[in-house]
Amino acid sequence: MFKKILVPVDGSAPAWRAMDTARNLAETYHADLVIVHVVQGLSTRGLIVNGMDISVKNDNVNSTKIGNMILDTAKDRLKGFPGKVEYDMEFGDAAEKIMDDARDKSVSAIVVGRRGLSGVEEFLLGSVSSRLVQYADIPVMVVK
Amino acid sequence: MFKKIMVPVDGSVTSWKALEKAKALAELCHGDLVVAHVVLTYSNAELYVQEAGGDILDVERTTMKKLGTHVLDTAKSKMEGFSGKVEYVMEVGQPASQILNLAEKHEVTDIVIGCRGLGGIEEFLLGSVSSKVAQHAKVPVLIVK
Repeated sequence: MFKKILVPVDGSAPAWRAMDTARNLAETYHADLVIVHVVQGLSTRGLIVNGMDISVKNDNVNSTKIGNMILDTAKDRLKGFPGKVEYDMEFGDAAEKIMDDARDKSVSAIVVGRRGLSGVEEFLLGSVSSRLVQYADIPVMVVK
Repeated sequence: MFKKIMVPVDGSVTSWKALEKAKALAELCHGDLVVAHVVLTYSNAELYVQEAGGDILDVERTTMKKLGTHVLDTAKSKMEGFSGKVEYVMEVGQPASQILNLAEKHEVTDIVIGCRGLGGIEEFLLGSVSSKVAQHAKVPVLIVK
């Protein structure tokens, strides 16, 4: 049932809890893990502020650095895990990229931390976890 | 993890898929199951049609409960051969909030639920039962497609 479990991590506490849950599941099922971090670059803003493209570029470089740190932390936390683990960094819209990655790597389930954006943005767009719940074509487990 | 799994069933194909998945998970982790069915009634309509008398609503409610019993009987037959404990519960009210109440009352460790949209504008405005449960539950929620 669970051969390969994908966990999106953004460095937040719920994401680490999701990773712990996924690890438990993977150990029970002898499954592999795919840990993904999505860097949300300033692409839209980039279009608007063309003249300022250097600062945008710097910002993206910083986000990538932070992304690497998050994946390193994930590696640390997964020490001693008996199965295979793939680490992956993607750029773009979090929910979309997570689903693309799940499809590309033919994972059997996604375990995601529940974390809302705030206020109006969550109301209009929904959180990443709720978009995954609605649009992913594989089982999704939402961890508090 | 997966010590006591709650599965809400409404008789839909996806809810049976969720039940099967929960059964497999519970067997692997030696867990128990709570199979819940929530009967939807016309609580809002009730406010408007009080003068029409309780008859129609009573009949409607009795029918819904019969259907509920039928759904739970089907669940029972699908659970044959399961080694752990299974509780069957029926509750009347709004599905998402009743599922959350039942999860707390029965102190379940996880919820496994079928993803099923209401469709169209209703889903856009209100969200599906599964996404409400996923958003508000205090325990991990596995959404089965």
